[in-house]
Amino acid sequence: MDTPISSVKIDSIDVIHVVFKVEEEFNTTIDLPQDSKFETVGDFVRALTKFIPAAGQA
Amino acid sequence: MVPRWVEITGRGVLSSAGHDVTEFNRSILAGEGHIAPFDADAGTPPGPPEAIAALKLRFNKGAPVVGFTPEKHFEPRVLSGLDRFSQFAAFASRQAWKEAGFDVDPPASDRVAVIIGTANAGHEVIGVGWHRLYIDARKPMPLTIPMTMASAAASRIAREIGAHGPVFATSSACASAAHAVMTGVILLRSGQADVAVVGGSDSCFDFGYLRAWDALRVVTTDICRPFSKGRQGLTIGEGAGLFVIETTEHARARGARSIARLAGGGMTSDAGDLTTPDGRGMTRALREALRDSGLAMERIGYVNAHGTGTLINDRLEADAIRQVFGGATDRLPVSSIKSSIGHAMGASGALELLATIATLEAGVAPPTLNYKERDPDCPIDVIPEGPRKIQIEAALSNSFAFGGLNVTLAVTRADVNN
Repeated sequence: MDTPISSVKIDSIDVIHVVFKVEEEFNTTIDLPQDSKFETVGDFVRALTKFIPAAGQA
Repeated sequence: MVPRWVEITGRGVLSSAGHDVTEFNRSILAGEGHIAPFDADAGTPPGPPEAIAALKLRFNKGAPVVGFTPEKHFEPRVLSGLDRFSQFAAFASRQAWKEAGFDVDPPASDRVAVIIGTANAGHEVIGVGWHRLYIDARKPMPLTIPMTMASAAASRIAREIGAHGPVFATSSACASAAHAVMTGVILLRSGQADVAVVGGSDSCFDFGYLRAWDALRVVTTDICRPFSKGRQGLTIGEGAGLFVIETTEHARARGARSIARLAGGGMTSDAGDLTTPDGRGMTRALREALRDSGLAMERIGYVNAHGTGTLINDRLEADAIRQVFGGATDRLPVSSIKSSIGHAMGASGALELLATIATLEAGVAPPTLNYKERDPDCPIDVIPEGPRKIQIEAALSNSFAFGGLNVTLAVTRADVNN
């Protein structure tokens, strides 16, 4: 989770794919700010998790 | 002013007639037909029986690209962002880039242009996206928009070869590829670029698209028979044809082999009916191609026709050729390879330019297949009997599109001077 985003070589398209898959899987809508920046993979996961109701309550 | 011709130094193709230029040329010049029955019920959307019956295609023949496995040519993450027409274009562009020798020794990237013609763009992705939305009540796939863009193929090719010059798409229905080629010529002449990847790509075999063509009533239930008595309409094909073109100075400086020379072209508009052409626009395109190229009429030894197989287009195209060439029309071979590979829409002009170049190189003109009987309304020599040996130095290739958008390209053998 501490792996820097820059080292996993994902681009804007990969981010869109991940967001879409999470939306489909958890039947939710993820509305990240357009200027979102993530230092680590963990930052990205935590940002997404906020939009998953069950996970958000955990 | 001496016209500025440009050199063709690379070619690539994906077609029902072949997945590389060698096979495509062999098949086209041999007069092989690739129009065949396909499963007209495939992809029919779910619905009540009476609706399905109403949606059923009237025609069941076409010339789809067969045996192309995109997974062999693109990584999964790349493939997930490419509509089929972009896959076709990228696949063909790699062949052209390699034949030009740029895979080993690439040109200055900021001097490279990419112009790709497409009539349909990424319509397959739109179909999938709207089906998810309206039938499945799910969100469209997230890359629906960038995958459907007409410029998606050009962007993909630019990324693969590192082209940092002018990169964009042309879209003018069935003249899209020819407009792309001519635009590339203009860019090279103007000094905006030294090298250009040009051509066209379209994928056509999904149910929605085929059904929409059926509604227009110009697709024949028979088979494409250009210029023949008894012709009833066009047959749908698909594919991609790509070229690397470069200025003569650039090609000579690096010792590149010129395959053929693009001498110029004519681009005109009917400014008239959306689907019924006006022969005057065709005539002006032919005349303008001669003027722009500086080629005297007597030097033209072959015309690769647009030749859709529709009643009106073929009659008007034949008339336009006769208007321009007069009595010499009787000694001017003409053929339409749409009788072999169908109408590849926005790619057709590129595939037909490939065939025209093959004719110049081999000294053999392809036949017009499925020809039954001479139509008095099409008084031209359409090469009905089979491949014909012809030794020529220059030829024309016509693309006359819906919307009255006309392009004629003029091309010569590599050893011909202006």
